Amino acid sequence: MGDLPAVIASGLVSGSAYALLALGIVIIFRSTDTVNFAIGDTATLAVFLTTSAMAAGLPPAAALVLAVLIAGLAGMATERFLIRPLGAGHKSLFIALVVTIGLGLIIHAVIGVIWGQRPIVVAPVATGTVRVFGVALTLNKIIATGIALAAMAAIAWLFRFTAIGVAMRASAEDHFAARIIGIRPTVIASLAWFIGCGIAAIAAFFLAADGSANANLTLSPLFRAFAGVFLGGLTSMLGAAVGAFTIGVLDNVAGRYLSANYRDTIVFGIIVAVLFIRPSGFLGAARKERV
Amino acid sequence: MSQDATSMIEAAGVEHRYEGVLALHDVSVSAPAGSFTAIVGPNGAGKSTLALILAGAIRPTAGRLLLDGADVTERAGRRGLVEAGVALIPEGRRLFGQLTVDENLTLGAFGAGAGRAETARRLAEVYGLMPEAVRKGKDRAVATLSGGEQQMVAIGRALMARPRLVLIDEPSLGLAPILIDKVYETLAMLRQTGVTVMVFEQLAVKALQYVDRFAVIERGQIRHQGLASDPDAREMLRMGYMGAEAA
Repeated sequence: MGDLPAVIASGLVSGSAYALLALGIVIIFRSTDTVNFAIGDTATLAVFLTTSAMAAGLPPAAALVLAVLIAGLAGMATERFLIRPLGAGHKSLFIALVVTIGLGLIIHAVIGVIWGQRPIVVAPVATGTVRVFGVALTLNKIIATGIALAAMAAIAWLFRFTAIGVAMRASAEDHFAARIIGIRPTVIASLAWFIGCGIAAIAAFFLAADGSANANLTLSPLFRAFAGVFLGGLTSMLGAAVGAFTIGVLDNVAGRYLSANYRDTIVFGIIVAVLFIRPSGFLGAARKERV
Repeated sequence: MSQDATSMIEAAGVEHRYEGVLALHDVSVSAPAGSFTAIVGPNGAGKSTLALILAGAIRPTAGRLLLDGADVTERAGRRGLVEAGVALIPEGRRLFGQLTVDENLTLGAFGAGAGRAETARRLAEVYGLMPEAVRKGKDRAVATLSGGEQQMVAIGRALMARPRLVLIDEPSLGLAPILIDKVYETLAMLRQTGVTVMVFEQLAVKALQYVDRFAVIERGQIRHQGLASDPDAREMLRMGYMGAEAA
């Protein structure tokens, strides 16, 4: 067990990508009650577009910003043109779910058509290795984790200290009350979809910068992000982040010490057990009916 | 309370159906600027629906909503009439329980489009009206406050929008009698500053101690409208509505 710190560190590094995806899912869900299954594919598409730009000479920092903007705007467009026209109500929520799954499949196929099925090679943002508390980590992963943590801090700041962020929390708690005091639900929805898909692009960008990318770039991380979301509670941003990091660590620990082949089974088995005891997750609120 | 030209808010021949079920039928009520009006009636009479319609929070299935004599029916159903100076405290108050007192109040101004400096000014003013427990608990989650404190925060949040008209659904609901008086005293004070106030109240006797006009609503229809000072009207209210209720 001498390598436990390394295994945990590695788990936290992958957990930071899951946490960004998980936060994206929760921010979007809280604003429009929609689970956006297309979030991973939207982010992947943005990253494929920007890696092409990077190959043409765009510096990595600019490419990252570009990826966030592309994914964010794509998310906004998804909400505006595919989700909003469905209207409110439980029937349309189910339709919205199917719409996002369909959109994800379409984007996935488009990526395959444009870039082919073989992985494209992506240059790491930085090369080299650094030892942190005796654990060797690639500089690339450290930068990825640092930026992920900075993005999460920025989101925490936005939701805690800005008026629009507080309005987004208010709207998540009670859509109707927010609307009658004059908070524009359309603004909240657009912003939430922008932020949600934008931070997913940060995760996708660094997943790609690990070496290569194909259309399935976010597939496995998104599964783990969803696991983290359900572990933390679908309505809690903090819970989603904590849940996602937990999954990252569990995944690595299970893969290293139990069985590399059954890591998925073990991790998801633990989640099922946790949810059996606490159905709303670590920090999720029991869902209330809204008028 | 009929079609006088000075009405600030007026519902004209309003009908409302929820999925086919008639909640309001041919309701016409109005309130002149600066008045304190109570719409009284039993549970399920249509008070809350009428409050939502007058606030522009929902659009009536038929009839018109007039604000300062102008037809605003088309504007209803989205963000209400917040920017036009109408604030609603809906049934159950609908405060954001997980947010702090400060955040709830700030949102009242934000929703009405106030800037940062203006919000700070209003905040200082509104805290002046709040009971000490609320003033000292600015950073407490609203859900942890008592019912009376929450009602004051709800009024505060509405005032943060600098409304000309405040509509309050069941201000007395779930409150001890002493707190009900406190709430009504605050509303009366508000009215003194020129704000038009309308309450939708089951507790008719309490409301009539404070208001100057009232209307009785029953089964989605207005049964009577009059001045609170009119002894005949009060008597009629006692016989017709309170009698049946209090028996």
